[in-house]
Amino acid sequence: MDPETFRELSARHLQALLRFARTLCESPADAEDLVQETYARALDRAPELRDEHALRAWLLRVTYTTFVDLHRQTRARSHVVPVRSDEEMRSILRRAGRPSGQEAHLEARELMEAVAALPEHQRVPLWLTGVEGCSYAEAARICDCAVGTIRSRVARARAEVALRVAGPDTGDEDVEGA
Amino acid sequence: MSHTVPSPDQHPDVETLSALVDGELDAPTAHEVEGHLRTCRGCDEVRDGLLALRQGLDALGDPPNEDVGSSPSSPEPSPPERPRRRARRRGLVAALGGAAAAAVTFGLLVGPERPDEEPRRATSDSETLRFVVRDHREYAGRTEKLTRRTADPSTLSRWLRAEASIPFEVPKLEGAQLLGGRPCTILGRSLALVFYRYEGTWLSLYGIPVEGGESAEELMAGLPSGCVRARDDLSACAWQERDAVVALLGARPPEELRRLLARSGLRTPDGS
Repeated sequence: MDPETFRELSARHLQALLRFARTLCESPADAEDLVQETYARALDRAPELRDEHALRAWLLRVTYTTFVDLHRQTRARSHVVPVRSDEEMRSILRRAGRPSGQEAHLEARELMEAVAALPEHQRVPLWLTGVEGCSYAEAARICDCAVGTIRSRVARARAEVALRVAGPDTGDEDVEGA
Repeated sequence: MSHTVPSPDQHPDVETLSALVDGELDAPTAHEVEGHLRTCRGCDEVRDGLLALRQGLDALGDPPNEDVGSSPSSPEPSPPERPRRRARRRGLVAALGGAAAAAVTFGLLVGPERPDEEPRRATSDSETLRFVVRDHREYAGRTEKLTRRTADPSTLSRWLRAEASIPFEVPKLEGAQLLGGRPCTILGRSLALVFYRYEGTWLSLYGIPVEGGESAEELMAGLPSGCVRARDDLSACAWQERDAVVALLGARPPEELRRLLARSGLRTPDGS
């Protein structure tokens, strides 16, 4: 893709890259830095891109790899991820499907905070598939992992988000029927 | 991708239900799991929870407002620019040029996504639209995904009816080249997916036949009424035909898609 075409087409994806960068970075300022660096790198590599329809996923991938490069030293690695059984996740998710009283829908701010609290390896797949509308295959290419890994991480990320949004188990779950 | 299909007395695991709400299960597996959900309240509630989360997340991709314009890592509104940022941003302005540079310079980073365009209704609340947007991104430009390649709408219509039992008349779009199509399944129903090349971009047209006992209005409830900006560079137009609901997606402005449809004798609800 020639640089002029890249400039024209990539501008359409600026908001998506900023949204994604903000899920990766500690602060909005860092996110903007990341997007700037992403565009600089992407512009250099634009001639490698043959398919303009793949531009969006390619830019998201460049954003993620740039983030990994820039924050290799500072990325949190000690995030403790609870290993939940399928039964535990089911219980959490069932509560998320029953909003109580005044909450007819999940509040955006509450969701953002819950997503932000996820470890990176869950947050990124959930954001790409849930917010940016990437397929599992696209998210796998962006994260450089297997599709099955994305599927698993998205499911577990949803359970963690649901736990924060719906609150801890109060022990009043119904018995499931087959 | 294959998944374990649950037997009638087995519950699908959370991964499978999560993949179901994302439309990531193959059609036979999705059909089996949906059959189980009709008889299992517990699993249906898990699915409801997953759906509620997915719809909430989907809304985060809409134009920023007071709630969602800030970082998930930093819920407070973005702070004023610091001198260091302005200095670095000049580099980006130079690199991007044109519209993107203007957008950055004038604060699109934290402002409305497309202030000069029509409101983007029917985005976060439209499950069907979400699926077709993602579907389009997955398939656009990939000619190997064309199950039947033909430039003739009649040929493709006959093939869809004979090979996939999908009764859909593929429209001819004036100025767009028909590439071919394939049957696909979205939200558990079969529909025709037709591809065109138009002005160097790839258009995806979804033909959803109206089946017995349902109305086109019900199907339209999951799609935008007319032409709207669907997400980022994608626009979507939806309209009703006599026996089908049709949605067109492409990386062109909504007005351009509306004009394309008008030239082709197809009228959207907001078409002039």
